[in-house]
Amino acid sequence: MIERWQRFGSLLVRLRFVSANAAAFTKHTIGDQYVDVAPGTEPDYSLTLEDGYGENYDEVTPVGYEKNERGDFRVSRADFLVESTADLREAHIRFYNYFGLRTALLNWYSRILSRLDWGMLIHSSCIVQDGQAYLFSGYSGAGKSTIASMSQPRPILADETTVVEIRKDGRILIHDSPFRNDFKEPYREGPVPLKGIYLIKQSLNIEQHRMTKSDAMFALFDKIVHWRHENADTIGLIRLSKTLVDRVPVYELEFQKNDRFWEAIS
Amino acid sequence: MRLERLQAVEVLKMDGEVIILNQETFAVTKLNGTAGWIWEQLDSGLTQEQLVEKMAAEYEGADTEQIRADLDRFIDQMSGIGLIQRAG
Repeated sequence: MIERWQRFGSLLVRLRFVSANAAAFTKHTIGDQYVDVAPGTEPDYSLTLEDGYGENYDEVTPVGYEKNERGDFRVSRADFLVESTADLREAHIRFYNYFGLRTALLNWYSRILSRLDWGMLIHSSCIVQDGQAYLFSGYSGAGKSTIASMSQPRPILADETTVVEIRKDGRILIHDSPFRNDFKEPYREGPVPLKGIYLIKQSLNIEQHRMTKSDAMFALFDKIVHWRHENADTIGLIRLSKTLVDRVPVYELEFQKNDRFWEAIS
Repeated sequence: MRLERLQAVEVLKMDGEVIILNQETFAVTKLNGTAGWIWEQLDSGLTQEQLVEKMAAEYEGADTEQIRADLDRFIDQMSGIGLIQRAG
């Protein structure tokens, strides 16, 4: 068993890899920003990762969810299996391939964030300018990766899945995302306050329009990474979404395939 | 007939709008200003006619017959969605 420690947002996670192969797949999925810990340190969460499970996903069958009387549960799909204690502290992910592992990790981590009422994961890219974070979300193909690419050399907090912390003191902070696609360079300066959310659309124009809070909240719902296993978690997440749009302005942004949208938004 | 609100809801207020989230179905309903006001009035088990009187008092100058008809239509709609029930 290979053991490594890694931070996910503000959480310290102990990873145990059943094989070198499992470690390699995991590194490819969430990087290898391992940290050293003092002997005797207790992790916030423990996760065991094991390859060699299942088969390709058919893209159709919904994810299965079962729990026992203690609340320990399993989330299953053809290409992954997540087994966890009720308190989420100990979990075991078995996976078939990169896609299975990535989905399992998102399911596991989003569940923890929701249970802690800490925040959420949003399908989006997130860029730093002048010490503030700007989040860009849209449907597949809308241009999240394009935005990241066009925005260089500005630092990139996320290019596909952004880690959003909703603090009780009112601040919304973005942490470096371990879930990277093309732009793998981690952001090491600590969490960044979120200045604005931009729902993007490629266009002939460059324009931004402020959205009403309710429109913004509805638009964000299908961009938040979440599985509706337990109603209480879903309701909690909806409340967090309301807090998010109460605190951060949300705009529709039309942009061309260049970096000139930065003049419009900052 | 008393008007009863669905209990298993989350009420989200944002910028003068009221959003009702059904906690079982996760259906969301956005209420405009008047509808939001009506929702607030219904925490005390009013009859539809009592509500008409309250609205006539709140919306001075409005025609009571019009209020009665509009409210009836509104309660029908909210009833269809499952948020308000005509009970008893």
